[in-house]
Amino acid sequence: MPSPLAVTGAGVVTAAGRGVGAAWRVLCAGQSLLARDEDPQLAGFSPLLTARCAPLDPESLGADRRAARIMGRHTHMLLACAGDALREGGCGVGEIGGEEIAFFAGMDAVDPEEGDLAAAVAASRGAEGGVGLPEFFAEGLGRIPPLWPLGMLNAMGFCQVAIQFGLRGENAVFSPGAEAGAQAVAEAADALRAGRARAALAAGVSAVVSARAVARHRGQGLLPPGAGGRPFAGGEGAALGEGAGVLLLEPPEAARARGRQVRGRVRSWGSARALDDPGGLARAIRAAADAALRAGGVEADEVGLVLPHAEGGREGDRAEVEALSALFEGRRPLALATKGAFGHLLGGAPAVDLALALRALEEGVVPPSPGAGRGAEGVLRFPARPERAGGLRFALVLCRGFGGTCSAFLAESA
Amino acid sequence: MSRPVRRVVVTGYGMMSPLGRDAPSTFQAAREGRSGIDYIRTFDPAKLPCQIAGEVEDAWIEAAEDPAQRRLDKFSTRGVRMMRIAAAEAVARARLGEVGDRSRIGVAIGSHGEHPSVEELLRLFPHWRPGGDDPWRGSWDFGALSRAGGYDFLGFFRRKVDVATSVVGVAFDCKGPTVSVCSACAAGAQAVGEALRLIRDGKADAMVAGGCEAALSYVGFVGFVLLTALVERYESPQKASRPFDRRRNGFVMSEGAGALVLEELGHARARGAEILGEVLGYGDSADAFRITDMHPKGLGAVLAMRRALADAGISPEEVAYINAHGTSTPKNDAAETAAIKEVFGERSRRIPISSNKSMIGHTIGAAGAIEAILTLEGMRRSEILPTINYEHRDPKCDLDYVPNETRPAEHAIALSNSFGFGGQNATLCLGRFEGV
Repeated sequence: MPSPLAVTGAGVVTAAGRGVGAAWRVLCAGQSLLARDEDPQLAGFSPLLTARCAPLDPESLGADRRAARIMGRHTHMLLACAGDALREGGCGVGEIGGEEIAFFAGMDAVDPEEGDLAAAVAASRGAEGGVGLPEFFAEGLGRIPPLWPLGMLNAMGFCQVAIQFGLRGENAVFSPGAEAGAQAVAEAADALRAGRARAALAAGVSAVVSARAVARHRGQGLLPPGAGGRPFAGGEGAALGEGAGVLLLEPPEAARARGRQVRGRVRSWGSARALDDPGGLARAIRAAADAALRAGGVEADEVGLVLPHAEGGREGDRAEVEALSALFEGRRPLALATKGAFGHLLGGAPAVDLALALRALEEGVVPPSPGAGRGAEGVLRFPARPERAGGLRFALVLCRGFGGTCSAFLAESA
Repeated sequence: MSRPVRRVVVTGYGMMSPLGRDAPSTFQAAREGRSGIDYIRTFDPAKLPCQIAGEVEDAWIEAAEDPAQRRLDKFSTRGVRMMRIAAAEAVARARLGEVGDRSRIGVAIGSHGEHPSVEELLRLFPHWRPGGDDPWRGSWDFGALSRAGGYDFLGFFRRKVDVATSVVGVAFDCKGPTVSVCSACAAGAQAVGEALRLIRDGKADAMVAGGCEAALSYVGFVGFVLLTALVERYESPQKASRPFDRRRNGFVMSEGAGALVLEELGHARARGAEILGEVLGYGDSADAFRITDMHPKGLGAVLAMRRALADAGISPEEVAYINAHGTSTPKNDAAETAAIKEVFGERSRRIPISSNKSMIGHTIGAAGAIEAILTLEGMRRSEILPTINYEHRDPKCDLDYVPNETRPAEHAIALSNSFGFGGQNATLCLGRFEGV
């Protein structure tokens, strides 16, 4: 069995603020940060629950003013998390060369900011109203920020973070959902195990709440009108959250040699894709979990904690219950569902959930799951208040992305 | 250096480019040194400093589309329509339809979704509420926009990076792992590299991999104009893309799609598939330098090429040809030349290097896949495609760029470079199939 990978740094941004600790405290308080979004630009979707992050100032994150001009909020979140993970892991200048640090991220689609075009459109009023193309060519075109088109590419935010920290190792950006965030963790781990990097950042970034993002995800059936985002509560779907997570992974012996504190380990992972037949989703969830356990050499009854995907959609939640019921055969391990607190972080969900799983293993405490219903009661045990759980060693983290891709990660205490 | 255990071969490929409606016709046009660049027809570029591009003929797309797949049109951008056509050619050539276990066939595609169009901006504008004198302080009345039918769900869907992957998966019944890569001009090559890794790791037996791009809409094009990345001085459209030539002054934007079927060697052999070549290795890196500029010494390119060689277990002495990124921008071509010299030393002067972009232009997310296919086909035919429009020697670009004419040459191992805006780099190490 390949050796587990050490997590020596983690950065998380959620509606709770910056840091794993901020998210952890919200969970332990049993608090949900989902709230009715009163943004007038989202009026067409009302009522809508979201969990938004407070704005981050890129210059305070170390970005120079010129670079900051084309950074969107995706980039701010990724920049903050990557910086925190690298700092905690002691991967500053001189510790590990940038050429030896791999960097993989899963990011939701980066939407164009209509506001960026406002000046151009306002300068292009035609004689008959609307945008006049002659006016647009004469005046409007020059008002478009030159780097606006680049800002729409997911890869640009990623590259800005690579530039900021001098990361020159293997890299890729996947998109858009939790499947992309899971792929980033798996690729980072693969790069380390194959010896192609000395350390690796595995990152994920959510959507930034906007009319476009809400329209896109509502159109896909992920975001129901009204209340959503309550795990296993028989609801219609998820609620959109903003956030990001970055894990710094290293081979354990390398972390020891550098004298770094190991927060926990990513022991193994597995994935499977749901085929479009009845029961396919439950089978894929189970197959992903089985693959992770098998790769880690761990039996299902050794798993003490489960972080289910649990986005709040009836069909998906039911499939997850079916899969976990067969896996645990009535044992009811402790569970933590985070989407009721922070919303669905899409590409950011796997890294954030892994960071929180490791925190739970480290503290020996399982916090409550805000908003969780009773739909998984016979399969998982959600504590009503923070529950001390001695001897927790393994946590199973599940995630499910677009296209039916299901992933499972086995986290292990340090 | 030892080679990875699971060898990955290519059993099919297909493409659509400004030079041709499929892989054979594109290769044939390229070996004749023809240019696919012309004046833009899709929109009126009269006021723009660059008025040329490599457009794919609409008639080719219309004629090649499978009527049974027209149901996917509403989800498909122009780029994704071309991707379907390229994938259909690749899948047919590989006879992938005869593989029974569809859960072992995956899809990895690099693309960037659809830009908002001028029409979309026109639809939005009536609902813009200015906030006083400062236009930046206004806001959009999304409620009114919504009531006016302004929210086009399918438009939002088509913006997603993974739409090409999803559509190809549905169209060709691929139910294995899916990967959607977004890394600008390196996306097509990165998708092929990711597919290679998935097969090596045993996650799939075959992958449909490649890239597509069709950003020749007004908004997409203007973006590159604003970046001053496009060629602005040219005698004729056909002479505008001139990689490594001293008078190069920008790239020509193009559109297209390329698809390869990658397959584990044993799997391909067991079903008697024709083997067209081998993907020997993949290397990637980041420049970590500037968003709009490549590192002047090609630092990231050096890392990507060295990593591809190491991954393939190949020494630099074995490389017989380099399909360059070769965009025709002053900085890229000089930096790529410097990087090749760094990796290959004195031997760099004896390695033929050429840029397909001299004929096709820059197909952005599709380029890595298209160029990998042309490289493989060249190895099969023992021909090295030329760099056309190479007329004036640049002291900073002083290697053998296979000027203007196809060169007959047996060659068994090649590198194909792709370097993305922002600084993501990918190199594929490709080989003629040696049946051992």
